[in-house]
Order: sequence, then C-alpha cells, then structure tokens
Amino acid sequence: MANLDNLIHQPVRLRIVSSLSTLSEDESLEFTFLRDLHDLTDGNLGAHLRKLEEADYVSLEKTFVERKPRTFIALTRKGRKAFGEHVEALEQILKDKP
Amino acid sequence: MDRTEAHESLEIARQAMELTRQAVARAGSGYILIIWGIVWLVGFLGSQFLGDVQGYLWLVVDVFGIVGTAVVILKSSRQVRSTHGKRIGIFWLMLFVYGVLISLIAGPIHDDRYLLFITILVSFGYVVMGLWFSPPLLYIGLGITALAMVGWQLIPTYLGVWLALVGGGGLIASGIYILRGRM
Repeated sequence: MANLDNLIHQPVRLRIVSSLSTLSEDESLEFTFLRDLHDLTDGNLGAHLRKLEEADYVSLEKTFVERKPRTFIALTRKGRKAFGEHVEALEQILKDKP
Repeated sequence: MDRTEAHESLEIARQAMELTRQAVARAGSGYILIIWGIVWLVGFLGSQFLGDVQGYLWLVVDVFGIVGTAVVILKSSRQVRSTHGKRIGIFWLMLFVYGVLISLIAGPIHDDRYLLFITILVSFGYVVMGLWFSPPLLYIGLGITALAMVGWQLIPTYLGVWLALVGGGGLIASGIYILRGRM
C-alpha cells in the first residue's frame, strides 16, 4: 500500500509538485512562471523548492535566456514516483474510510 | 488523516494540475493551432475563389503562419522548456520535403486533388504529433482527414470552402478548446 509523503503533503509544495507532474520528463517550468501561477513570492517559492531539491524531488537548472538569468524547475523521477504514491495513498483513504 | 483532509488534498492537486495545463497551453500549442487554422481558412477560401492569384495568397498566409509560430515558440520558451521543440521542427521540415518529393514523383497534381493532398499531408503531421505528445492532436488529424475525404467525394465543386471550414475551422476550434484548458 502506498504511503503519504509528508514533504509533498504541505499544501504549497503539493501545488508545486502537482504542477510539475503535468509535464513530461524532459520538460521544465521557469521560476517566475511557477511563482505567478500559484501567486507566491520569490522567497516562499524558493524556500519550498529548496526542501524539494534536498529530497531530490525536483531539479533546478540556472541558465540565461536572452541575457537574463532564468531558473528552470523539473520534477525528478524520484519526485514523480513520490507524488504518484502520495496521490494513491490519498485515494486509498477515500476508499477505505466511510 | 481523515476523508475530508484527503479529499481537500486531492482537490488542491487537481486544481494545480488543471491550472498548469491551461497556462502551458496558453503559452504555446493553443495559439499555434489558431494561427495555422487562420492560414488554412484564408488559404483554402482563396483557392476556391481567387483562381490564379491563390499562389500569392498562400505565400502571404504561410509567412504569417511561420512568423506567428516563431513568435509564440519564442515567448513560450521563456516559460516552459522542452527538448521536444527541435524534434518537432525537424519533423515538420521533413514532412514538407517529403511532400514536395512525393508531388514531384507522383506527377503534377492539379486543382482539388492538390488541395486534398496538402490537407491530408498536414493532417498526417497532426496524427504523428498526437501519437508522440497529445492524443487530442491525433483525433484532430484523423477527423480532418476523414472530413476532407467526405467533402472530396460529395461536394468536389466547393472543396476549397469545405477544407477551409473543416481544416481551418477545426484547427481554430481546437486551439480555442486547448486555451480553455479542456485538453
């Protein structure tokens, strides 16, 4: 049976990981795009991303687009697996508990 | 964790996923489908009504399509990055080259058969895109092919108008549908 993931369970991180899960494995979202999408501040998003990166759930790539620094964020294979199991565990709770 | 909390968490995840799909679609494919829908709509209507001048019209609308697509890709690449982009570009270039080769080898194709050939070739491109990336594009490609064949058999005199409506109109409608986050 799948287990709940405490790191992903936090609502903001759940939104971040859910967003990234909609992309394919070689796709990534730009930091400001993700920030504006969920109405977060730079600091708030950055703090949550650090925690997810420490767990190897997301990967961050810093690069330059049109001479401006950009950070692209992708869900790692480990993060995708953890999110899938977390959702499965949530669905199991709905099935099990009347 | 109780049922209510689990339900709320799943709802948060579902909403975030829907929001992202809509935003990513707005950033790219939806607009590209609408741009090429306009190209088809105007181009095929020109083929129906403009006679010999249609070649110039196709040139103008194709340039509009290519420039518009480039702008959309440039803008969306600042937000969403994918390694698919280069492969997609090469695929459409190859499809164009093979289309030219086939039309040269098969002999000159005139009038309605030429319109049909272009439609089916591009629809095949959408079928491949659908198989690679997004099932809705597969259905759009198959649907336009089927409707184009029906029009060719039933109303050959107005094939240009028919292809403008099912091809161009279909792409525009699909683009709007994607932008509204339904796909």
